Amino acid sequence: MNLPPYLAWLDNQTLWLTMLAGSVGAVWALSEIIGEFRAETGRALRTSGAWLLVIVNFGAAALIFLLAINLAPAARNWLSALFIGLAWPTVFRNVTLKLAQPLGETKDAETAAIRLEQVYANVQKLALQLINSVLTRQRARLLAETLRFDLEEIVNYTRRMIAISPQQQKPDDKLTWIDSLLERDIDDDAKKTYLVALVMNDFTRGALDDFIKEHKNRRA
Amino acid sequence: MNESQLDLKILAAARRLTDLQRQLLQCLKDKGPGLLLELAVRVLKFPEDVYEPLRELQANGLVETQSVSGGQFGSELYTLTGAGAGVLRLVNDPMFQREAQAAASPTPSLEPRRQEAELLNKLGDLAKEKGDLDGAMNFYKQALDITRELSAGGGLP
Repeated sequence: MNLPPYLAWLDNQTLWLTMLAGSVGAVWALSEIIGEFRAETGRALRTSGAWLLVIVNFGAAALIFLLAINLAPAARNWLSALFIGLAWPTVFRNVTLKLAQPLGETKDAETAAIRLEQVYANVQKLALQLINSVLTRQRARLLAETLRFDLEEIVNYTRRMIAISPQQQKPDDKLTWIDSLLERDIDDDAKKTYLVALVMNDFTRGALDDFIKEHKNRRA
Repeated sequence: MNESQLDLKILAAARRLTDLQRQLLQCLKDKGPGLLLELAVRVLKFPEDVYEPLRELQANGLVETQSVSGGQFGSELYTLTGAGAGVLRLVNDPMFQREAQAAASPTPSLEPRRQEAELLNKLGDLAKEKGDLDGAMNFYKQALDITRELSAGGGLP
């Protein structure tokens, strides 16, 4: 293939294979995020924490592939790239870099070492904390917006959602819980907060967005 | 703490779990991390009902908290730990449920020591699946010791 000089890098097979290994690694990160935030996957993926995890996974898989083809040039093929992308978590998370090996009696003692598994766990924890913080702030903002509506409107909407949702578990228990909530000696805002939490957790935040739109239109 | 000790800790925690605590762990797994008020709503309770059970889960290392600015929802976000996920897998295991039911039934159909031997065998299987052969052998040895002890005392037919 004859490419103009400024596009010559597109002809670099190593680059594409590295991208392939990295992309498969990134898919691992996506699966971790989807597994952790099943109810809010879309929103979780739009946070900096999610991108941090994806980039770290992409970079690590790509780096391991580059190391592998430098040590064994015969591994420069798409099958190896795919395999390294799939297998890198197993390799990476079981490697310990020993920084010092004491002699004599202290040999069995705790040695200075970097467990890559621990390094990855720290990055993963940081990413999850960042995602959690963003999602929680978003939920709190949505709650504040919903509190402007009347309690009766929120109660009716929640009951309607419970009645029409086809995948509801124990709808009667939920209706009973709403009745017990309304009988509680707490202010209306507190009752609204509970109902908003129920809608958000049972029907996703999209349902609450719909409620806000619907009632804003009605008031307009 | 090595893997075998962790597995034993999981087993002990699984046995102590109340139904509400199991529901809390399940909803953390199904719906992700949540604030106190959200967790209470997920199990159709109120915060004061779930606060203590959650504290107990936290003390046992099954859930952990992260400080967040959640406004009226609260400021502590609860997440499931690896040990919490392990306990949940164990309590959802049909064999564990059968054993728990048998233990709770008024007629002692299975002796506690025999149940312990069976659970140790199961933990051995789990350790073997994870590739921890030393840990698996340790569990199998413990199960064998109990079985021998029961046989010697006429506990087994």
